[in-house]
Amino acid sequence: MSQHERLFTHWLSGRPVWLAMFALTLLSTAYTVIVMMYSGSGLVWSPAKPVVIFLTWGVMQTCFAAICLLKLRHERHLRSALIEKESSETAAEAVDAALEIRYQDYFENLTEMIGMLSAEGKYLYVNSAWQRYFGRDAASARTLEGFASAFPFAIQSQAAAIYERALAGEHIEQVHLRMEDSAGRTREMEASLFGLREAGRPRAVRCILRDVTLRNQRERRLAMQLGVGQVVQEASTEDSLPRILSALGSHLGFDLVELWRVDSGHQVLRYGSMWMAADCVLPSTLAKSSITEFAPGESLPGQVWVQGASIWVEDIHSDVRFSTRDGAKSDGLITCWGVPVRVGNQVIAVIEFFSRKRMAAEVEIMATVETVCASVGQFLGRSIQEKRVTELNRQKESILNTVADGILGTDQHGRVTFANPAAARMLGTVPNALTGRFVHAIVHEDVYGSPTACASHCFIRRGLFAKDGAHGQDIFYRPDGSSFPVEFTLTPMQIHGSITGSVLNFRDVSQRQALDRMKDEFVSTVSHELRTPLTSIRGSLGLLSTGLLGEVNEKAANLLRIAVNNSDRLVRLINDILDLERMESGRAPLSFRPCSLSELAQQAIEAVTPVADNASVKLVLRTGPIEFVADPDRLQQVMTNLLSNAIKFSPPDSTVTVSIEKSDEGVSLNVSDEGRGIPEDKLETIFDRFQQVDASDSRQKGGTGLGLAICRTIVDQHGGRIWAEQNPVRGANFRMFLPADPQQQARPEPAPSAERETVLISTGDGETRTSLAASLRFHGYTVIEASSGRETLAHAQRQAPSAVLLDLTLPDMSGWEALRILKEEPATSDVPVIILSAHAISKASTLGLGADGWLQVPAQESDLLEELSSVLNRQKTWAEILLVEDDLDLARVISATFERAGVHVLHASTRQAALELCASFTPSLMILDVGLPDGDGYGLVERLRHHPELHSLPLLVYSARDLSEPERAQLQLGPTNFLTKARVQAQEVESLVLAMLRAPSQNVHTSGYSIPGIPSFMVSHSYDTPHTHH
Amino acid sequence: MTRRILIIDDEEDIRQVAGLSLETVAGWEVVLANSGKQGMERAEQEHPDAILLDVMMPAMDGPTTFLQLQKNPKTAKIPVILLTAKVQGSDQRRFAELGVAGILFKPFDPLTLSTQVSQTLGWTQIH
Repeated sequence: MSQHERLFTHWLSGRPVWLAMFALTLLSTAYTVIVMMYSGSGLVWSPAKPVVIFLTWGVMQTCFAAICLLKLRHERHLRSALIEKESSETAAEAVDAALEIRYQDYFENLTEMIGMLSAEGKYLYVNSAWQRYFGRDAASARTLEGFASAFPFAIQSQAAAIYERALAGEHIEQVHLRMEDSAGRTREMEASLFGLREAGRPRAVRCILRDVTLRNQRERRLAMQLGVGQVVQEASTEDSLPRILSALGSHLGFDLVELWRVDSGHQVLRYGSMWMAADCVLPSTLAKSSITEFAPGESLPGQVWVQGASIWVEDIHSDVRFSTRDGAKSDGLITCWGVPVRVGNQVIAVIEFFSRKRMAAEVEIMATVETVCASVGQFLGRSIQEKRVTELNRQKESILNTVADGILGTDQHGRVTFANPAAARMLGTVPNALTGRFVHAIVHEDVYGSPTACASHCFIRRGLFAKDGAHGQDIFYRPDGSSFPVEFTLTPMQIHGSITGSVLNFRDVSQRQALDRMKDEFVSTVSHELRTPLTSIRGSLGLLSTGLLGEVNEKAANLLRIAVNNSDRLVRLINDILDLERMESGRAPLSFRPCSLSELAQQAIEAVTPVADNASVKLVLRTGPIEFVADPDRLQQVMTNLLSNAIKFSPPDSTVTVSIEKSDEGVSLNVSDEGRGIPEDKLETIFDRFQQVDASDSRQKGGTGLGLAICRTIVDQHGGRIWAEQNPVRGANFRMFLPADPQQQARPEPAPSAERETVLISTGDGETRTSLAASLRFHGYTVIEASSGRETLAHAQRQAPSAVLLDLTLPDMSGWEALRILKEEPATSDVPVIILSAHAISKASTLGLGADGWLQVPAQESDLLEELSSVLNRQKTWAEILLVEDDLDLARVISATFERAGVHVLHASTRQAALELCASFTPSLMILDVGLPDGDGYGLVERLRHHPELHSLPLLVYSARDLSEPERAQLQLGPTNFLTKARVQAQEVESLVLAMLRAPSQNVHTSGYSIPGIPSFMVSHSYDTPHTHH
Repeated sequence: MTRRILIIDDEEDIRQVAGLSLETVAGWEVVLANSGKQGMERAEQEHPDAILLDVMMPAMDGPTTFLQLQKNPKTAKIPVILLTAKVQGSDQRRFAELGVAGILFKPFDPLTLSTQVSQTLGWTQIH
């Protein structure tokens, strides 16, 4: 029904309408009757009149009927509406009822507490949760006087306030309430209230309470974890401990957090750090904390420490573990929780949490905090480590700063990475000025302008790349040009077999050398001073005794003879004393070299033969050829001494026998005579100084009393033994045994490259010559010997040796003179000359004067071979290439390959190093590994394009993967070839490089060309000079 | 053939003994000088066949004297033998590198001094 209809019908339903309609009907009927009656009385009856009358009546009746119908409809509608209303009301009620059952069911199962209150504040309905929480059943709830009265007193006003607001129509959402539940625990609630209004007036209030205690706790815990985690991450020092404890304490709601640290050395727990809530005052606790210590197991921290597990004490007052913690108790702390902080399996600290409110142990909190404590443990552990590291660093630094030796650390290129103060001081500069520079440039600076000049002489260059390093004596130079002698050791640093750098350790020995020199000078002076007057004495007496200056009678002659003999003896004594003194002070060190003992014995015998002949004593030598490593001069001295002793004590026509034997353990020497022999009790004492067998002899026979002492010293220095024995028949045996030291006896393997190399040894000193010649021949060199300058020049010209060893002490000309002539003559100017000299000082001038090498004599065999082979190798170098490769092992292999082929390899492992080398050297070719650590090969090539000489350098590029065309275009200088690492071996690289070196101006095309040793498919491409393209 | 030997030594006694030795034993002519300076003068004047040169002398020592003698063309060719009491190995090597003809040690045997000189200089002896 439309509105109009409704309105109309509504209007129609009113009573007056009915009356009106009734009247109208009546009237219309009356009218019709009247009209019909009057139609017969005189009035003219026409058919029209009844029609009109009838029509009028009809219309009126229709209207009336319509009105009635409408009314009826309205009524019916109302009635149906009413019925509908009634039925829907019932239905609604039914639905309501059903819903209510369901809701109730639902409400009952909710954890939220739900209450319905009337506008007056009466509890109409409360769900079970509410009942449980407030500890009231529904009936009891309904007796409550208002919303707020259900709540604890403390928050009643708050509750009432929000209730009023809800009633007023405000939608209360999640108001925070804090109260204790029936069990006395503090809970946090969120209250949401909304009022139901009807007709502008509040009807009811629905209230929902949520217990958010747990949720809030969880949030706080997360925040705490985050907070602590952040601190632990950022913090590095112990100062952050309070911050960590603060993060823990404040988030968990504790009032006091104390950290106790384990002192494992003393086995106690000591106060570490603490945090206190802002509103806390704990005078007694804190006063005691800083001085309290806990033994293992003592009180809560002690027990946590020992057990390694956390312990929660809800009430410390009733717990026996806190019997001693009066301070804590008097300050009102109730709950205490101790947590261990671990690193690995060890407890390194204990954290104690205190609360003034009683808190029950909650598994979740405990679990979270224990996880956090692991981070704390890490933090503490880390700071302990850091402290240790700092301490160690400090120790190391103080050692390095204090040590008197200079220490330079270098990287694998020889650049200084570290210099200690002593090194800088000795070198006349500061540590900062040393770092970053090449070490041999620093120490050899002033003499050898550029690093190349010291080349292979330089122990540093050799030592840096040799696995064994180097050591010895050398001269270092300072920036101002002054120099100082050093003893040095250069040790490479290795990690996993590859050299990562080295340490050069050196000491200024100028003082020691000066001291040694002083001592030597003293001895020399003393010796000189003693000998000079003796010269006159000896000379005068000698002359007199000849009788040439005048007749001398027998007695006089006898006296003169006595005098002469004694002055001889005095001279010998001086010699022996000084000798002994020098040997024992170490200033006459033995120089061990391979020698022939049989020859030495022969020489000793020859030396004493005149004396033996005079005494009519026969000398016999029994030995085979015996080689041994020893000091030949000194051994001969021993042999001569023993022989002259033997002769002295032999009667005429007796025999002195010398026999030498060699065994696996060493060599034995025996000198036996047929003289008086030595009494047993004197067998040892005769080796003492100035001791004799008895008063009669040795001095009589001109001995000094020191001979055997000297022999013993010499033999001791060889590590051997010397002793005397009684001959069973008669006479004495003097025996000497020298052990074969395997290290000493080992000779370096003959180098294969020595074959067919001829070496000319030129020295006036037969001894040296023999020894050097023997060593070289053993190693496969062909040796020509010359003993004078003239011979040397002649041999050098005629026989074209590969090298000349030239001694400065030539009998007929100075060694320098000989050197000059050798270098001037075209036939010999190319032959390398190694100067043999006694002094280290002349090294610099040696090289400056044109010599190619220098060897100190007497020389160790290994030094001889090394110097010779390096000089020879240098001669054979016909090209120099630059290898840019960061893989050191690979670089070493490649370098060795090329060195053998006579190509000197300059190695750089970074772009920077390569550029530096290009600044000093001009290689003939470069091998480039494109993947370099500090900027790729492309950058290097780019830089070299601007180099005046190297822009057209032949280049061999190799890379881990195949390079594309544009990549290759970027990588060319001069003739360039490309190889892929995985597909080539060192030999193929060598062949290609050698081919490129031999034909530098030609392009080594590989496609369609065959290079010996390189299958063409392995070499990918080559480019012409930049101007032409394929 | 009679040789003329110049002996340069600052010690009077040694000059005498050495000189006497050479004269009596070998019959050589001897010229004496008491210092390096005098030695150089005498060498120039007397043209000796060899010079016996002491090492330790005040003013100009043996090696210095030797080098000066070498510098003077008139005396450069005269062979020089050092006669010295400095017998230590280190000393010896130093002298050897000078380029002298030989080194003899003090004290010497006066009976064999001339022989040693002859041997060192490669002279054949006639006496």
